[in-house]
This record gives sequence, C-alpha cells and structure tokens, in this order.
Amino acid sequence: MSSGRIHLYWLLIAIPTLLLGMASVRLLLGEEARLRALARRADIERAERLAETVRGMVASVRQNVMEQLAALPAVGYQETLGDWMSRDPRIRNVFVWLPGKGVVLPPARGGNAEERRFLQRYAPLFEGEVPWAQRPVADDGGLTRTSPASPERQARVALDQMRARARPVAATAAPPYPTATASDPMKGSRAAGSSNERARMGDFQAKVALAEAEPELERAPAGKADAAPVSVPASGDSLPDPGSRHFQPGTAKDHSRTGGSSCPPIETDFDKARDKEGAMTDSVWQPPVARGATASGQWRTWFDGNQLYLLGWQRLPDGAIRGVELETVTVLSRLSDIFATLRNAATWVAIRNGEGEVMVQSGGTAATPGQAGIVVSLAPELPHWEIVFFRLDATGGRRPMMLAAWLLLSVVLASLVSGGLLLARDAAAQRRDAMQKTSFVSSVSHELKTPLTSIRLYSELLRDGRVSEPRKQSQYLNVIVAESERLTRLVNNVLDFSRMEQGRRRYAIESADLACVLRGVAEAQHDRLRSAGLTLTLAGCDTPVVLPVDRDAIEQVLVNLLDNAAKYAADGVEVTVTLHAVPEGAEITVEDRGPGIAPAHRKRLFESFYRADCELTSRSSGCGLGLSIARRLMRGMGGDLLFAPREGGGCRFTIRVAGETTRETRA
Amino acid sequence: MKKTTTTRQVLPHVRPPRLAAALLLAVCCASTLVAAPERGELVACRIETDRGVVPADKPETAIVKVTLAADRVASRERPPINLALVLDRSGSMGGEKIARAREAAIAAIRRLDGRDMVSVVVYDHEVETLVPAQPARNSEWIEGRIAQITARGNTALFAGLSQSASELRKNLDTGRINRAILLSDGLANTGPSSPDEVGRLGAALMKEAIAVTTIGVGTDYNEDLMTRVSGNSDGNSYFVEKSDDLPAIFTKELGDVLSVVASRVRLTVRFRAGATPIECIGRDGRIVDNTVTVDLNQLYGGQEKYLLIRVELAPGRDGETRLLADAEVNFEDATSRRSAQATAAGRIRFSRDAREVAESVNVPVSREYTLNRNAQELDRAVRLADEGRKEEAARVMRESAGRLEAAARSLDAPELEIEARRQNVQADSIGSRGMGKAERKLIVTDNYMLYNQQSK
Repeated sequence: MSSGRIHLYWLLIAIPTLLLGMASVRLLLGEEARLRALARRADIERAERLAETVRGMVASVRQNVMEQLAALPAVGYQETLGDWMSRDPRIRNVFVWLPGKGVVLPPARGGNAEERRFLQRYAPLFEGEVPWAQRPVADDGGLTRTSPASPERQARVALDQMRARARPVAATAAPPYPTATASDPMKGSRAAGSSNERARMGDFQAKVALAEAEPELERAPAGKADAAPVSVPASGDSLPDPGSRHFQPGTAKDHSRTGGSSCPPIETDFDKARDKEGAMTDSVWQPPVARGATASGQWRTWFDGNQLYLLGWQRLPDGAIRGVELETVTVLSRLSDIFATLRNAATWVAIRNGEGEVMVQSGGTAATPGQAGIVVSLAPELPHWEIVFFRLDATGGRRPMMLAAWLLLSVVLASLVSGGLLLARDAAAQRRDAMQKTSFVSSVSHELKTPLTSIRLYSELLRDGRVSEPRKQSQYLNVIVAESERLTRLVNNVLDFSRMEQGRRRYAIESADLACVLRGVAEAQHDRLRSAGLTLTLAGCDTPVVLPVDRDAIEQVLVNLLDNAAKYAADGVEVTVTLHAVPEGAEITVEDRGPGIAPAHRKRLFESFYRADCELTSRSSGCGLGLSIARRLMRGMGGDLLFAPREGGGCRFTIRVAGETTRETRA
Repeated sequence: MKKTTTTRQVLPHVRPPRLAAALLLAVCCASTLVAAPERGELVACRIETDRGVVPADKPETAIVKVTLAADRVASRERPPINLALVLDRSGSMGGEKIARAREAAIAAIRRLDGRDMVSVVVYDHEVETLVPAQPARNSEWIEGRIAQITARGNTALFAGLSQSASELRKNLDTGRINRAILLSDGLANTGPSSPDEVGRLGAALMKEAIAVTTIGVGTDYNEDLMTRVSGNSDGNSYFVEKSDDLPAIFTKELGDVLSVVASRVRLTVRFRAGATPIECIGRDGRIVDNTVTVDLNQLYGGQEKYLLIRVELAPGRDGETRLLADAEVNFEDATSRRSAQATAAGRIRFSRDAREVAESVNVPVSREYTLNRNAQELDRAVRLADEGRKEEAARVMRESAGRLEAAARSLDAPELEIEARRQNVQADSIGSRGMGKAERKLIVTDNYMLYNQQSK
C-alpha cells in the first residue's frame, strides 16, 4: 500500500477522532462550568443560611435580654441588675443612668476593674457627647430593608437581600476587604486601624448626633426610616462611625423573624445551630419579672479599641436609663460550638471581624490568596462582621474536569500521532522489505542467469564441435565447472537462508581439524582467487586445531568471506586467513586490503538482503545474503562472526568457533 | 481558689524561693491567725485588720483582711465532678510534650470513677471533641482515644475552650463540680487570642460555675492569657517548663478538684458608717457604695482564701471601738448541694496612745499587704521590660525590694528580707540581660498567686 493511501486513511480516522475529542472536551468543560456554578450557588446558600443562623442567634439573644431588661421593675432594680450581671454569662456589664446625675451604676468610684473599663469605654455616651439612639442605616451590603407587605413578599425580600449581601470575593493575604465602599466607610478606616480611633469616634458620634437631631428624620415613620438609604458622611478622612449602626426597638425581633422563619425551610447542617441558639437563651439565669412590664428598648453597637460591643438600654418614664452590655465573647463561644459541628475538610468557613481577624472558623486549612470565596455580611446584628466561606480546592487550583478533558484530548492526539507514525514506519519497512525482496529476486535471477548463460554457451559450443582446439576445449570446460560451482554456492546460500528462516537448518557437529578445513578451502578457492587477482596466504595452519564443528558450515562461511574478498577486495592484491587457538575455542581471521566498509554501513552489514548502496556493490554481483548467512551459521554453532576494519585499510572478519580446543602435535 | 504552682527548674541563679516565702507566710497565717472552722462548720469566715488599734482623732487608712477557711472533712463523701480536658495538639506540642500530656490525661482520668463525667477536647487550628461528655467508667475506651492524639496545625485555644464548655454544659445542673483543664504550649493564633478576649470567656464560664485551670507548658505560651482565664474563672494556673512534670501536675489538680467542699461562693462585706472601702488589693472585688462583693467558684477542703481591702476610716474618738464591717459568705455545699452561710464581724479600736497602736500591728496581714504591693510593682517592671526598658524595670524592682527590706525590719519578718534579696539579684539580671521568657512567666504566675491570696 502506498504511503499516500496510508496517510489518507490515517487522516480519515484522525480528523473525525479529533473532532470527536474536541467535542468531548467542550462538553466536559461545559459540564464542569455548570457543576461549578451549581456548587457555587450551593455554597452561597450555605453561607447565607449560616449567616442567617448567626444573625438569628444574636438577634434572639438581644431580644431575650431586652425583654428581661424591660421586665425589671421600674424602681429598686439596681441590685437585681447586679445579680443579673453576676449570674448571666451573656451579660458583661449593667448600668443605670439618671438625668442630672449621670451614671450611678457602676459607681464612678469603686466597682471592679471591668466596670471601671466599662465606664471609660462608654464615657462619650454617658457624658452626653453621643446620643443614646443610633440612626437607622442599611446593612453592610448597602441594601435598604423594607417592610414586607405579605409573608410571600417578606420571604422573597429576605432571600433577595441575602443573595445580594452574599458577594463573591477573592481571598487576599490582607486586608480582608477588597476596598472600602462609600456606603461603608468604617470598613476602610477600621481596616487601617489607628491608635487614636476612639478620639475620632467621639467626633464622629457628635456629627451623628447632629444628623439625628434633624426634625425630618425624627418624624419619619419607623418603617420608612428603616428603608432610608444609608447616608454616612463622606468626610475626607473617613472617620469611623461607631454610632452609625443603629438597632431600633424591636428590630432584633423583626430581623429574627425576617431572617429565620420567613426563609424557605431548607434542611441544612445549621439546624443544630438554631437549637443551640434556643438553648443559649433558655439555660441562663433570668432576673425576676415585674408584672405589667413592657418590653421596649434599643440596642446600639459600639467600637472601642477595634472591638465590637453591644449595648442594650431602656428609658424609663422618669427619664432614667438602664441597660446591659452583652458579653460578645459568650456569643462567640456559642458560635464556636456551632462551627465545630460544621467540620468539613473541603470547605473553610469563618466569621471575620471588621479588622479581618478570624473570630471563629471551621474546616480545613484557611484559604490561600487568590482563592475565590463568598462573603456574607452579619450586619446589622454584628456590624462589619461577616461570614467568609471558601471551598478548598483539593486540586490546588486546577479544575479536575478540565484536566480530564485535556488528558482525554492528549491521549487521543497521542494515540493518533503514534498510530500514524507506526503505520508510516510499518509501511516504510514493508516497502523496504518489498524492495529488498524484489532486489533479491532480481539479483538471484541475475546470479543464476549469468553462470547458466556461460554454461549453456560453452556447452553448446562444445556440443556443436565448433571448438576443435583441445586447449580451448579444456578452457571452456573449466569455465563450465567454475560457473557450476558458482551456481552451487549461490543455490546453497539461498537454500541455507531459507532453512535458517524456517528454523530447519541442522548442524552436523563433529570433531574436525580447522587447519585441515582451512587448507581444503584454500586449495579449492585458490584458482578463483588467483583469477580475481588475489593471493591467498594461510597462517597458523601448521598445527591441527580440532573442534566440534559442522565442517560444511565452516567451509561455507569461509567460502562466503573469500568470495566477498574476491568480489570487493580484488584490488587489495592479498587476502590472509589466519587460525588462532584461543581458550574459548578458535578464531579464524580473514583479512583483505580492499577499500573496506564505510562506517555508515557497518551496523547493517550482517542484515539479510542488505547491500551497501555504493559504486562497489553496484559493480559486483550478489544478493546480500552471504554475510548474513555466515553470521547465522556461526551463531547457530555457538560461535560468532565479527567485523572490524583492518589497520592500514581493508576488512578484518573474525570467525569465532566455540568449543574446547585440542591441539595435536604433528607427528 | 486561684492557685499558681510553678515548677522550679528554671533560673537557678536568680530564683530563690519567692513562692516558698509566700507559702511560709501563708502557713504562718494559717497556724497563728486564722482558726480552722469549728467542727461541723463547712466554711468559716473571719475579719482582721492590719492594726487592731488605730490613731484617734484623724482620718486613717486600714487594711482589712477577710478570710474564708474551708474545713477539711475527711469523712465527707467527695462530690462527683464534671471534668473537661482541653488539650493543645498544635504542631509545637510534638514529641515528648504530647506524649507526657497523653500520659497525664490518662492518669487524671484513672482517678475518676463512675460518678464522674469526663470529656476530652483537642484543638489545633480546629477543634475536635475526642471524648464527648460521659461517665468516667468507660476508661479503657477513653484512654484509647487519648492515646491517639498526635500533634499538628495551629492553636485555636478559644475554640477549644469553648468546645470544652459545651461538653461541660451537658451536665451542668447535675450537682457535679465543673472543671476544665486547659493545656497549651503556644500562643493562641486562631480565633480570639488576646488575654482580654479569652479572659472574658473565663469570666463568662465562672457565671456558669465552670472553673478553668490552665497549664502552660514550656516557655512559649502566653502567660498573661492563661492566668487571665484562670483568674476570671477562679481556677488554678500552672507553669510547667518541662513536660515531665505534667503527670504530677494533673494529679495534683485532680486532687484539688476532688477536695472541693463548697461551690458558687459569694462573699459580701458590708462596711458600716465611718469605714469606706477604697480598693481591693489583688483580687478583683466589686465595690458598690459601702459593699464589697467577690464571687468565688469553688473552695477546697483545708484551703483558705483571702480578700484584702483598703479602707478609709473616719476619725474616731479615743477609746472608741467601732464595728467596721459585717461579712457574709453564701455558698453551696458541694456534696449536699444545699445553700449555706457563714458570717463574721470585724471591729477596730481608736486610741491616742501611739505605743498601743504600734503594738497592735497584725504582722501577717501587714506582710501580705506588703507582698501584694510588691507584686504590683513587679507587674509594672514586667510592663517596662516588655517595652524594652530593662534598666527602668530593674530600678523599679530594686526600689520595691528596698521597701520590702524596710518592712522586714519593722515587722520582724525575715521572709520579706529573703524575698528582697532574691528580687535584687533578679533585678541585676534583668538590668543587664533583660527579662527572659521563663523569668517573666515565673513573675506573672507568682503574682497571680499573691493577688489571689491563697494557700493550703
């Protein structure tokens, strides 16, 4: 088959296969993208649900605490407040502020170390520098909260808000927030962190107070106030705004309802968390409740030393204000319990504060820079805090299906290329073999035809009696004999090759004197070599060297080598055959002074049908089997035939005959 | 109550036994001044002042010591305990430390029986509840779980402690003594990690009657954080420089827990007219008007806990004996879970006779006061050393040592002189080489013990 057809067939297979492979890759990549999108959506939902759980938990605690605060009696409650603080792990501090007197609990003088820090922390508030109420603002996502008209709308709005709040981010080494947004100036300034932040907070709180004093805002209905867009002063230095995050009375309850029960009831890992949330409010000590007390109060967030504090307070009819500061660490501790139940090596979820510090985390190793993650704000319950969710990529950032697709395509391509190459190589080998065989047949035909022609010519001359001179008759008869011998050698070679190819060559091993064999061959070939212009010299044949060999095979090898010398090294004048006895047997070297063999051809010298494509071989007859047969014969007897260039020019063939040497001394 | 026991292998050249001096002092107090509770009385309360007689006709300042002494009743059945072991398995705990910690935990659990509940929480960058809260009778399985602990990852100390609290809460109202033993050798680096934040967790746990004992191993942990957690939750705190000592520390700690006789202890001291509490020295008491309140988590049998209060006295007439304060201690009997109470009253006399005033000095109370003031100065020195002002730190220590020497002479208290000498040597070392990690830990933990005025 021609190479063109092979290539054509190969292309006919390769092109559709390639197209198929590319289509598969495309499909796989599409599927991978779809799965990734699904996984991401699921991750966003998980993060949102967790955020809702956390918000719900905090809101629930706030609501519960506020109800307890509101349930205290209107008078004589100071001691109860103290008891409450000392027994309820959710309460960090309690306080009572009286008009005209300021804070009377904790006492300005005394208290304990924590209470002294508490007074210092809230000095701007207690001293009137900052108003008690906080302005209503939207949460960190910049969304406005609306008052849903119906439960369905309520649920839809809640989900929309959750989804909008969940914003994908790329993990960064630091800081955690990509940029500070206009609607959230505190983030940027918080991330920057400053030692004199508290002083600046006081200034800013004063600005907030001025803003809150505006009558429009005061008159705004609660629902509309909630829905009002964030209006944070965009001052040049982006002052932090500890007072800007406001929590209206009852808002905790509202948020709890909006974020909790209004969400579709999806079964999640975080259901346990909701149980814990309930347990947290049930198991704590609760102050005695006064009859007829009404639950009303407000919460405000406070930042001091980059820490978040939550302060709940209630104004009494006599103008007094009493309140509590939540123990945020207790909330964190309970959240830590929840997060411990979320262990998953494939994800990393954490709560980060406004500084980007991880407060609670769960899952495998933290995300690496550049990894895509999901951030969900925990505002307004925990302003500037957020849930961060990362799906850890076990493949180190590589996409497995993409890898599989490329692998598949690579395998297909590799198979095609290697298959094509093998086909081409096979075709080339077959073509070469065919050419060699054609050449062989042609050579053999020629080799057979030449002596037959001579034999026939001289035989006819002699038969027809055209040659009467006895000398010429004898000469013609010698030619006939020589050509017959040549024909015999050729036929023997072809027959031997055929037998060896079929594995049918049998060796008649018997002890023979190699010296004697050499002398016999030399004698038989003497005339032919002389007629070729060569002088044969024998060496080392004075002493018999007896070895178990197939005498005919040895003779054939020697004849082939001498025939080659006659054909190709006739210019070299001499050919020397030397017999050496060696420990492993014997070595017979056949050396000539011909042109030798070029290095490029030496490697394939013993291959069947191989003839060096040179002027010399084209000038001489032959079918490329002599050396191949000679080596095979020697190897068949356990010996070998080697070639080496002869020093000073020419060839040196070494016949290694294996066997135990017996040197006999001539009598 | 809050007790700091430190191993003493470190700094032999600068470490004469300050703790030993304090213990000696405490033993003196116990033997000479504070009577053991009367037979059948579980906790006794007593009020003393640094002087029985103060000068008349002028405002005066007095140091009031309120002592709680828990009876050591051998025949009493010990209360069951609810124990959580919180073990750091971060990478730094690798090798010998984690092996010793495992041994110590197993040894501790072997001291418990089927009445007790036990849980084991391990933490690195994340938290794992290795043994959920369960009766300690299944000790083979528990020990097998503990034996599997290997070191890895970071130090999520806050989360580990939170998780242990969660396990303890499962049996919070079952009348058991709640105790978490927190072991760590490194700095908390995952989650809240400042002494303030983690310390607040200790304060919150105290309100749930959970005491946290902290054991710092090696010299790389944050002693401020560990002592703050213990202090706020009224647990013990240990500094163990060599992990070989861990099994002994765990055993000792279990001994304390098993000897608890009273829990949910609240001491209320109400000062009468003419006496105004100014500050609590060492222990962080809450002063509201003329009342000082201190909450303690647990009292061990045979243990005394103190509260030192500095009080301003209105001028008194010559010969007047004034009722200074009433003390009331409310607690829960750890075995019967019944509420109980003990009371005491303290009086002081006014005199124009300077000799009488001088002779009325209560040496043990004065010594304790002196040592506490000295501890405050040492704290100052630690802060200065932290800021790299080592010469200034050394100067503060030497000046305080001078005051100790003066007090030693006036009170005839040789142990104060020993302490002053030791402190001078330490000041020289700090002045030349700065404050080493181990040295800082010893100072902080010793001060912790002094501030909490405890002894056995």
